[in-house]
Formats: sequence, C-alpha cells, structure tokens
Amino acid sequence: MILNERQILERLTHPDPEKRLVVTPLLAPEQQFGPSSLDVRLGPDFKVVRTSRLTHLDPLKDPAEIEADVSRYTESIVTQPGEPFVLHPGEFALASTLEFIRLPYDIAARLEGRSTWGRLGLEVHATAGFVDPGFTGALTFELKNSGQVPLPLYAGLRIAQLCFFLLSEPSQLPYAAKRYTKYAGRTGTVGSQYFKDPEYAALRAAARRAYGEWAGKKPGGETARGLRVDVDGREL
Amino acid sequence: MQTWDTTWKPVPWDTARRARAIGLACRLDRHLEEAAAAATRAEARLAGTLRQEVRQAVAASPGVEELFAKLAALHEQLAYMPRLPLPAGIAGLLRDLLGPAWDGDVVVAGVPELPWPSLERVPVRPVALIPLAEARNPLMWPLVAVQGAVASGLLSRRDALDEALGAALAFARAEALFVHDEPAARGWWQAGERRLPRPQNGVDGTPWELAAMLASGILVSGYRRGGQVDPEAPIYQQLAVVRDEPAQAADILTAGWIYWYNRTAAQLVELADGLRAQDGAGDRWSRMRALVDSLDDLLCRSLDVAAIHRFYAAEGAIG
Repeated sequence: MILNERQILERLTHPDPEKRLVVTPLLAPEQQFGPSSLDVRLGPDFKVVRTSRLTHLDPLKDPAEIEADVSRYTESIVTQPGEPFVLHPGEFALASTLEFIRLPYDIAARLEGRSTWGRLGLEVHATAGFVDPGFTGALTFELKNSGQVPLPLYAGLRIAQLCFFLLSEPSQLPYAAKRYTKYAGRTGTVGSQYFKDPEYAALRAAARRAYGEWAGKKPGGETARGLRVDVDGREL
Repeated sequence: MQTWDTTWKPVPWDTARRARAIGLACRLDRHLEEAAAAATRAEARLAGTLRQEVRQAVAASPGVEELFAKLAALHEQLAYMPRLPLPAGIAGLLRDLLGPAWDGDVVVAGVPELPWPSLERVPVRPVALIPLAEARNPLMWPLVAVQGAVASGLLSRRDALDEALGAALAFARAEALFVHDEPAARGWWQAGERRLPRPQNGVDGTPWELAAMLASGILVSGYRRGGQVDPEAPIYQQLAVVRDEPAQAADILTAGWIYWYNRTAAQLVELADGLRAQDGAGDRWSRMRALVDSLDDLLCRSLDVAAIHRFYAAEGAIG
C-alpha cells in the first residue's frame, strides 16, 4: 500500500519512535507534500569521477588499494548556499538528499525524479531507487544529465520525491540490522563500496590461486617477478 | 533507542580531560586513514604505522599530559601525508559567523611550537591556524572562527562572536587549555556551564532539544515547533505542523558539547579503558572511532544543511 499525504504526515508525527518516519529538515511541507509523495531536496556535496587517468575499475585488487584508487580519482565538491554545481550533458555525479531520513521497520520507500527536472533531462538515480525499511542517513542521488544543455544545480532544490510503502508486517531484517550494510548512517554523499561485497573476497582468492598456478610455483616459491608467494599464490 | 533527559550531568573533570585526549586520538586516526587513501604506497605505509602508534598510545593509558605529548609528536608526521580537504561545514560556519567580509579559506597548518589552539598563545597571523586532526572536530571550530576574526582583521566581530557562540566558545577554550593551563581551563569550563541555556528556567531550550536529537542519531540542522496535528483543520494547516525551523550554528555546536559531556565522553573513556585487553581490543577501537565519527559527521552535516535552510528562509522561498 502506498501512503497518501495524511498517512505520511501521521507517520512523521507518530508518538512511538519505533513507528516514526524521520525526514528532516522539512523546509516547506506545503510545497513538498504531494498526494502520495514527499519531495526531497538536493544536498550540498557532490562526487565526480575524474576519468582521464583511469583505465578501468579492477575489483580484484586489494580493497585498500581500490579505496586509494577511488579516492584518487574522485573529486569531492561542497557548494555553498546560492552557489551552483553545473552538470554538463552526459555527465554523471553522485550527490545526496539534503534531508536525513530514517524509515521505520514497516515502511519501505522509493526515490523517483520529478517531472519538472525530467523534462530538462535530469536523472536522479541509475538503478538504485529502492530504500529498505530501517534505512538511516542521507539518500544518494546518481545524477546524470541526459539533456542537451548544462544544468546548474543548487543545494536545496527539490529534484526528487519519495513515495512510501507500508509492509504488511515489520521487517525482521531492517537495513540498519543487516550484517553487510555499507551505507547505513552516512550523512553525506558516499561513493560506491562495491569492492567490499563478500563475493569479491572469494573472487580475489581464486584469482590469486590462479596466478600462483600460472607462475608454476608452489607455496614458498617465487613468482615470475622473483617475489615469494604464500599458499594463495599471493606475493609476499 | 537511547533515552535522554534535559539536565546537565557532565562527566567529572578528569574524565573530561581524558576524553579530550582520546577524542583527539580518534580524530588523528581518522585523518591518517583518509590521508592514506589519497597517498602513495610509501605514505600509506607510514600512515599505517602511525595509526598503530596512535592506538597503542591510547591503550597504554598514560596520563593526559603524556598522551597529549605522544599524539602531538605523531601529529607532526602529518606533514608527510597528502593534504586533505577540510571537512564540510567549516567554510559555511565561518561565512555564517564572520559575514560576507570573510572571503578567505581556512588554512590548516601543523604548528609544532604551538601544540594546540589557544587564543592566548597564538599570535596574529595572516591565516587562521588549526592543527589538522583538530580540524576534524567541529566542536573546536568556534575557536577557529575567533582566530579567523583576529587574523583577518575583523576584530569588530569578536565581541559579536563571543556573544553568539556563548557556551560553545567557552567549552572550546577550556578544551584548548586542558593540558597547558588547567586553572584557566577550569575557568572557561565553568563559564561554559554558566552560559548554557536552561530550559527549565524558561530560557530557550533549543540546544537541549537538539542534543536529544543527537541522542537519537538524527541530524540537528533544525527543530519542529508545530505542535499536534488537528485532523479537523484544513490540510495545509495540518502539513505546517512538520515544518522545521533552521537551527543557528551556535545552537548546533552547544548541543554537540552538551551531548559530548553528558554522554560521549564517558562512553569513550570506558571503551578506552578496556583497550589493553587482547581480546576484543580491535572491536573496542572500532566502536570508539564510530562514536566520535558519527557525532562529528552529524554536526558537520547539520551546520551545512542549516546554512542552506537559513538561506532559503532569508530569501523568502519557503513561506
């Protein structure tokens, strides 16, 4: 069931903190509420990937190295009130909602664009518009300008909307309680932590073993580069 | 969810001093972690070694002075690390407090002969000075604002800053002097206590409301004064109940101090006391970092969001 404006309001003011929906700050509720949605605003911080020296993303590198790569190739920009961030045609940037959001365990949400901005070619997410029950923090925008003119974006603009879904019963596995969450509680724009998915640990181990076999060396032996390897074929 | 009451129950003096040093260690560790991510391999290895030393220094549990001296020595090594952008929030805070005349960036510098910012010791310089790890602590930014006012010749602002920042500035001054001038620190601490608004005396309780929100892990950029929803009222009147008012920077920082002294400082010292044990020491350190990081991040983001909120309110865009 999608919540209407009164049901959203009821959850925003619910006396029970466990049932309360938190969306703060709400600068102008009369502008932000729709019949079954709540507009959300653009936050001040952006992340842009500089691609000129980046050949590709290699998820099988050591996670610390990937983190260093991501940091090296990502530019963080924080705009001041009244200062634009210009998204040029075809460009992609990460940003986040101005609002801090906390969903109770029985409400999920979906982030959608607004038609005003869709008409200008602004996309607000690539494929990740769903918000799990129990999510806490700022939501990430995956901004892309699919139009033909540069778009000056200012913090505080209403560029997206949230609609809320009531679960038939509260989740037993809300986002905040999940074992492998990577973005819970983040207050600003956060880049992808894809390399922290546990599947990559297995893929890395397999790749190292394959490298060790390829080098034709047993544990304790040496690789083609003359470095000693461990049981996983990892250079020591 | 944590419970919270609006009474001033600060940690004892010695715990506050120790929490100051441990908090600085956590911020130094975070700075090193982020610098390592932007570093060359050699720098990243140095950062790794320094991070271990930071943790060992806290685990060794020396006196506050010894811990500070050790951290100061480690802090000097940051000169070999890549320069990081300042945390979000500080530029907005300075523009907020110093007005449009403030057009410079804050220059962050490690100053070995001036261990930590102390208004009485830092001479007038053409830039505002703040040690790097300290820049991660938004609670100390009121001092940066005052230093900025002095350094940029906006001296006329200084009284206004003292007035506007009130308890937040007094506590920051106390913390800056904890190690080097304990009697003066006590004086500023007491001044901070005196300047705290007392909601029970009918004074504006905004920082206390914000501190309660911090206890729930919620952004403190604004607060609601809308009261109860009247289901019989017209719909727009009902919706107005959830309108937020923007918080002032001083209220956000004062709320941070209230929360720090009433809750975080004690938790931090308790966790640090168990660091010596071999079992679970890594987990304890992670929890200490999470405790400090989450508070710092919430305060930084709140300052930024509140500035945007006030901008639109002042320009009349939000009714």
